[in-house]
Amino acid sequence: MKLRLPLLAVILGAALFGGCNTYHYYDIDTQAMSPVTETQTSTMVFCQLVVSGAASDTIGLAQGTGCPPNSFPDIGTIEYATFADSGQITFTFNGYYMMEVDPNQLCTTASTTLTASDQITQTGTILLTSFNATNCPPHVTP
Amino acid sequence: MLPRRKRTHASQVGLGLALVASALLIVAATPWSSARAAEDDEAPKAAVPDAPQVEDTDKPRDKSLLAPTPADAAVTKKNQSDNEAFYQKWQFWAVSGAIVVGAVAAIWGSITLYHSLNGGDVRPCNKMFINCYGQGEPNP
Repeated sequence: MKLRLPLLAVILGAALFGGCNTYHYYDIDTQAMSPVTETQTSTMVFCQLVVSGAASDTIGLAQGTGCPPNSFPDIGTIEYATFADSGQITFTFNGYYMMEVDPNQLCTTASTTLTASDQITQTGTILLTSFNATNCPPHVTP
Repeated sequence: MLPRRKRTHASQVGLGLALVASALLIVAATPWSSARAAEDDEAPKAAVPDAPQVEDTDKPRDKSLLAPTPADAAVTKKNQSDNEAFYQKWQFWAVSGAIVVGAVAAIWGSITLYHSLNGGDVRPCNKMFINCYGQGEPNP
């Protein structure tokens, strides 16, 4: 009986503080850099942030949530929360010319890979260094 | 010194009659006596008015003996409490309240513990960010 109480306390403590889930935050900043221009990025009407690796997710960004971008060259930062604390996490930014996920309308894509760890907050940067002007010509306003 | 009285014949007869009368009284008053048995077998007679209780010698003259004592009050209270329904007793409500409060606390504690084991609350989104996504975030 004397041994049972400490054992129970250890098990409970381990459950509370050791084996439970802890949020990890990845702050991903997307930036455009030359030769990509503000005019070009403004043609994107739908964007995606695809999370792969230790975590898996697909986040759609449309009007009012970062696509088309409100600022240039720093498009903005998105924080992604996950319980993953090991492995590689890759964040891929895709910008599309229309409101659909179509490779023929992909304007730009870039990614960054971070190593998940016990660190609560990590930051990463996605640099948009290329733009497909064929898929994404300037929008013509009548 | 006085001279010893000499018993007369009349006094001896009187003494004998007194003894016989006493014996008859004892026999008649005894419950198991034949005389009382014969009386029990008889049909009940018309009610004879009892003698007035004015001279009731069984009633104590000391008034303090008739006054209710603390023991009587305790017995009365206990009888009253024994006659109460279970939901009228404060112990029932005390135990019921303890059970309800304990159950609510256990449920709340379990939910809180489960929530904590699953990471707890995600931290607030920085307003400088475009938005926040992922596990625990309200955004899809």
